[in-house]
Amino acid sequence: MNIEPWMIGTAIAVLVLLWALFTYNRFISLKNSIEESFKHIDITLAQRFDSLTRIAETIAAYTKHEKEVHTEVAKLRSQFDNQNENEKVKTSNELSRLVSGLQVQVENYPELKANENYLHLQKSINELEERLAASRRTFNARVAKFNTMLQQFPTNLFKFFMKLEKRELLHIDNSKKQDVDIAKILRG
Amino acid sequence: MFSSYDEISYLLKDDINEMNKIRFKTLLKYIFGWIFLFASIIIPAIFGLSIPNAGIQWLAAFIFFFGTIASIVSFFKTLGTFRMAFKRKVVRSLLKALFETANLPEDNPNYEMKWGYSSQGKINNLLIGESGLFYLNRIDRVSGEDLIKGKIGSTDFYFSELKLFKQVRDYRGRSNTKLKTRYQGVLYLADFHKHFKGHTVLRDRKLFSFQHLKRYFRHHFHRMLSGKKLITIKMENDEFNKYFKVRTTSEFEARYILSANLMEDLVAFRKRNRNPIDIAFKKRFISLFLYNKKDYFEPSIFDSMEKQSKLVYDDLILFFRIINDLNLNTRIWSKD
Repeated sequence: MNIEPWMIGTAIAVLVLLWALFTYNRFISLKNSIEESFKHIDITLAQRFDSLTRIAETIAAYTKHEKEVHTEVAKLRSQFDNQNENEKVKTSNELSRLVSGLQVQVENYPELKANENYLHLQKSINELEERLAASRRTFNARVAKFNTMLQQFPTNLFKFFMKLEKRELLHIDNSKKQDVDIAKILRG
Repeated sequence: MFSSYDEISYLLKDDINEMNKIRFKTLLKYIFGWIFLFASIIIPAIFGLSIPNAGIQWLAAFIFFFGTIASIVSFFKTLGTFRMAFKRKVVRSLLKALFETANLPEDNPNYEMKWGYSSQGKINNLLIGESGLFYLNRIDRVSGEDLIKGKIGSTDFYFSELKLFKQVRDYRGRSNTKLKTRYQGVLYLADFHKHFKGHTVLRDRKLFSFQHLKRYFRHHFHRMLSGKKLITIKMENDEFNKYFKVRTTSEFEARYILSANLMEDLVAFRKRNRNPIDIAFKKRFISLFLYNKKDYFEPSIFDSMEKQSKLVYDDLILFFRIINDLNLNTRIWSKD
């Protein structure tokens, strides 16, 4: 059988089409996986925020500042629900600072220090911090893959067809890269 | 945490002295065994060939046959007794001394030091399955020895030498099968300090290329046939990626398990071991398979007991340090 030029042309066209389909699907799946990891961060942030709220309320119940703490927590809670990720991190950190301030007083309440609910919450916050760091690392790994594909030739051609934009990486605090020895923290 | 060999050597003195006596006796039996074996070959040969008498020739054949068998049985028995005595006295005494003199970190009252040793035992098949390391191969038979288990701090551990076999058809036909070694080395399981639900595997990239290629295809076949999705992910640590390929059922969980510190610790541990290591995280365990053809804790009648005892100490410390090296006593709250 003779190979005609049109056959070669068709074969190349089919290959290009297959590559285009594959790359298109790859971008879609990467985009979705970035969204998924972002949601994961969001969920973990919300869980961390809940734990912080509960720990603040547990401490406040033992101290003289119950009313002020409730007002402050309610204010932060209402802000948190409608914020984007960066703002949520900020609000969550604000609550974290409030909890740290309250924890200074825990020393004066030995019965609180031994309270099982308080200990449980304290420990769960640390685990959530670790899960949050893992979610952020997953997000960054996926974004890095996406950005590389977006910048490399020839996959960068899809940037215009699919109206894709480079995504920003999340900043990871160095102190969050280490495991937390919660037993040590609780023993003081 | 563990004392040096020099610090515990005084605790081993009596057992080592006794073992030296046993070694001397074994050596004598060994030499006599060889003399007896030669005698049961040479004497019947001389008399049987030089004297043309049927009775003498029958007697020579009888001496040759039973003398040789008796010598071989005696070799095995003598060396077996010596081997068991070494494990009972030296390995067991070393374990006892190591655990009794270990310095527990004072700040944790919950820490415990426990140990158990069975020279004939091995990690049970259920735990081998739960290790999550051998999912790509069908394993038909398992053999092993020198099971050591216990607890260091808050971490339970088990390790033993293992050989995992697969039954294959040999060239002679369908009905003839033989066992082929699939994995040989030491399986080490320890209670991991974090909670996880999925399955994460770290494959050593330094396994020789043909094995690598076989694994690559087996992994993809397994994915297609079982529907179980172990996806390959790249970690942030380039050096870690040079040594290990990470496959997991959940990327979030793999990154949760493999913190930046643990990755550095695993790379440091891998660099210290010249042989490849596969690692898996499944159920509640971190499982390490150290590929090695070395027979651990086996004595020789030709080396001094002091020297052999030090070698056993070095091997034991290598395994016990894994918990410290990988920071497994740093507990996450839900595993307190």
